[in-house]
Amino acid sequence: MFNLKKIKTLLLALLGLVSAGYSMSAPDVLERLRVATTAKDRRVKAIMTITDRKRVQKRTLRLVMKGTDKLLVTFIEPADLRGVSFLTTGRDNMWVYLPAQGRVRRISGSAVDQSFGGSDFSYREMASISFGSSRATGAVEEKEWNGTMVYLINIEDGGEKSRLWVDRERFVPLRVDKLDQHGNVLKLITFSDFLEQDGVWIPQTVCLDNISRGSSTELKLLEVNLNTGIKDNYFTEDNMKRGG
Amino acid sequence: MYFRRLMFILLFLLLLGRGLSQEEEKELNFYGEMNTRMQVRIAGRDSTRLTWFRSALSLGMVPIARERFEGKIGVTVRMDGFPYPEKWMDLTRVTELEPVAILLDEAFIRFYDVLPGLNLTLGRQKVRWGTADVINPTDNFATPDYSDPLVWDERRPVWMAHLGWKPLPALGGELGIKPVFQPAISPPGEWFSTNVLPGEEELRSFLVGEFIRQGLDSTTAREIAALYTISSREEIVLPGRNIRNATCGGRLKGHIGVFDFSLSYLHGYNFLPTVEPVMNVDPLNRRLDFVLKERFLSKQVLGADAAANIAGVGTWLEAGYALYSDTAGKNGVSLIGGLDYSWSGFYANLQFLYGDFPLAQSSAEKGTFILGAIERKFFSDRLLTRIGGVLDLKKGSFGLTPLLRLTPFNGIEIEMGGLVFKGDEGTKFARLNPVKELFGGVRYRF
Repeated sequence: MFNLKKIKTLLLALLGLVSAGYSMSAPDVLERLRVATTAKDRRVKAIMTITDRKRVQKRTLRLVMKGTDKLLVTFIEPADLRGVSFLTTGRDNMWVYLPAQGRVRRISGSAVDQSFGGSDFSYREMASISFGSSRATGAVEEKEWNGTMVYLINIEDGGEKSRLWVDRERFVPLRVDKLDQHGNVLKLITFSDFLEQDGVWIPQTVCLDNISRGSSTELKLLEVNLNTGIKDNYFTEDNMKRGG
Repeated sequence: MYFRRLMFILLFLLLLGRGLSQEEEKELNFYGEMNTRMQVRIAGRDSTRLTWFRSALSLGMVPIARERFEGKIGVTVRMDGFPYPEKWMDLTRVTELEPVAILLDEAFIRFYDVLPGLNLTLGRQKVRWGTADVINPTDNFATPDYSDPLVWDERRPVWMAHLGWKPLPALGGELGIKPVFQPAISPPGEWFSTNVLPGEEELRSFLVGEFIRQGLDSTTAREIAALYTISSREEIVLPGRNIRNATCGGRLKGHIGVFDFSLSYLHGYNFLPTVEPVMNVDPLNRRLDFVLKERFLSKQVLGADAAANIAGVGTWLEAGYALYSDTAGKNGVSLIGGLDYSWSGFYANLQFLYGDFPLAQSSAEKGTFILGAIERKFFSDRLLTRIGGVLDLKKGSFGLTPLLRLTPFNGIEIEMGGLVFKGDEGTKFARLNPVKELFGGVRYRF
């Protein structure tokens, strides 16, 4: 029984061989990245470390993802965030559950750029961590970065512009520069410690440097379970309250 | 027909059993919170006094946590107010000196995917409806807890059976039944007088007025009134415990694009009683019996709410139309609409309410209020500054709640703030006019 994802990867690889000598377009690079890094679903336990000038804070999270657009994140620790859940089913649909209020609330337009659980990630950045709603624009540059040949492409997500460094061999993201309107780098996200599991590349460490704030947040994945058979209707209010 | 029903019940139990037999177990969860707060009412050098002193320890745990079902139990031990010994003997009773209440918080079992997408929850739980902040006209299952004057949105869990169904990612529904009605909890007497009975003098003046109306001169009327024995009492009647008095309702909810919406129907009761004064004057025995009959009116509520992001602003609108079967109730709509916005570290929230505000003077006529808050965090979110308030639009009475909250370490919060009301006679916040308070407290979550 052939796995659809493997067939798709194979076809894209063949397409890559056939088109050798031709340069790839930015949307092609982004699509290859999605294929290389997206599992049907994944359950992850992660530690988030937030470092600013004055202190280091740790959070433990549970993440449940399906495809590139459905994500349910629940804080397990610390105590004052325990049970707080974040659900997204696409760029425009984000909700947060605050146990103290006992109610699920839609995250309003401006609040999507607010800090996610006190970290340097915003709700919008958490929602687009799999590049599901990103759109590639412009040309592809090929260059070397940290000893690795990369494709450098421009991406856009809900009006927010970024530059994305993609490993030319594995088609995994290595670095994202979040830009302001003038093209200055606001935040820098790096992906490292890749692990291949069931044909999917998983970055075990995601680090976000908040250049304007002078702080950083590292997300380290501890336990990763892929393709566990999570259904679409898992991403509900009841499961937010349950904590994933 | 009987056979089909039996088959259905068996199928239901089978599916339930399947859920119970799932092996994957999630990590057990144990959590708690300790908090203590004191309030001082500022009223001149000699009258400034402590009006609030509450310490509480809440403990919760998830004793069963499996893939298809989980349980949750919570208990709060609360020491309310001040020692009240009435006689020497009471000094031997620790319960008089340290008045402690033990409250059962949420205590339920939830079965997931009893049928695909269908979750069943049984036990004490908080079911919250509505999208608005603080006041929710469609939220009529969980009992309001008005006992803490600083928290206008607190609810107590109630025993109920609840079904949640999500057949489609963007559409779902829920049904709930609460067999036993629980009235709202009022603030304690130390903070806010809940004595609603008229005094003896007031009732005797009423008698004098009656006699004058009957043609007696004022001196004779006073003399006769003085001969009367006066009694007054309250009579509170809860809804009966038969099944037809259960609170039940259903809600359809979903989202289309950036809009969340819900439509609901509920058959239930007002959480606060409606009072009806009954005066019995017995000229033969020269007695005046005053009875304040208090009962909770039965109502049906048709509700609707919506929330959306419009041009970067969070917006919501929630309305409930209450339909009373009792003539003492006044049919009508309550609605609340609001906006919130975040910019440069600030958060602002503004709402318009047409309806009843929890601490305001209740009357047949609904009030119109503006509720608002603005907050800003500093020092990497360690310090929160906030000012919130409520304004009675018709008469201009208002309440303000400034707050400073410091989080020096994870899980620990130190709060300082104020609670100030201003309202002349006849306004919505008239009875809260004496409230000019400062408070300080500590909270620790673990």
